[in-house]
Amino acid sequence: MPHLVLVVLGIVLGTSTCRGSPPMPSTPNASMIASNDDARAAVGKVVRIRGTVQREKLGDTINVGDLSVRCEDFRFPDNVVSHTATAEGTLAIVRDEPATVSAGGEISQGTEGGGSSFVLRHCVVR
Amino acid sequence: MTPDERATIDRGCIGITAANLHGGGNPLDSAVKTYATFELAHKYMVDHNKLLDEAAKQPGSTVGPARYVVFAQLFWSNQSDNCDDRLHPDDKAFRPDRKTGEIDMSSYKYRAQSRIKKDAVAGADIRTSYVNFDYGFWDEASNSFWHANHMQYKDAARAAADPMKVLQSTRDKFVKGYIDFDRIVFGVALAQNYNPGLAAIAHAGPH
Repeated sequence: MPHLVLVVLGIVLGTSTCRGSPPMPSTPNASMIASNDDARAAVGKVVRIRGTVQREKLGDTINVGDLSVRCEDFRFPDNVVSHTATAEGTLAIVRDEPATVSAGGEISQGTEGGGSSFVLRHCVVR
Repeated sequence: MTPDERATIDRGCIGITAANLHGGGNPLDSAVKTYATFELAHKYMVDHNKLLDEAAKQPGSTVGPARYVVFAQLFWSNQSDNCDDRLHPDDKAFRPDRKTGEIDMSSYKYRAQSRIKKDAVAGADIRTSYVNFDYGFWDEASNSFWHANHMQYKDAARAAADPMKVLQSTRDKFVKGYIDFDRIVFGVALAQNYNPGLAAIAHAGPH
């Protein structure tokens, strides 16, 4: 059974490795966002953001001013981290799910405090 | 996979390591050693598995199938109960013993690095945190760490949009870490639930 844990995980949950994607042409109707107000007004739309890339556990973020947008299911190449990049995707707001602790003290991976964040779905480099 | 095994896995990276060690629990609780470097942890594992293998060959041996494994944990050094304190690292905490290379993790509380950010909905500054930790289970058969992007979210819609995924990373890649963490520790534990030999066969694929 033990060896099956890893094998079944790969099948059921989808084994993957961190990866990047090559720059692609811009989407003509993507609007540029540069602030939290811009972002709140563009939820559900295809947007473009240019800022500094930060490698976070939940996903790489692009940061401009106090706006932070996380790319879901995507990692920038290592050499882009801490540098300026442009990404595009469909903007959404997600609730930050806090870590849980079972009655037996078993803790899960997660954050403390909750809140909500902007994410880019189908995130690509521009 | 049983419901209990699935529940353990759904805890994210820590669940993958916990599942392979004992099918549950928190991995640090069962670590016999916690080192500052992979090399020290790996040597302990190899040396002690050799002793177990030799003992198992003796007539009348009662040595079971459990063998030592290595896991890694990326974490935040400041474990203060005050969230404001945890905005900053604690340069003196969880440093290795100069002679043995061991790190005393007994005061570790699974706390995350605090952060202040604009809430996407409210637009106001909120106190929240980065992710609490990242565990990696060392797979001797493939020379890589198994970990996860995040836990499986309880909310079904959220889980469907951004499901938990199991990641396989090289040692270098895993150790690089993320901005969430400033430390790494390598634990050694006796695993009841992992057989690297069988895992190697599984990695080779069915024939």
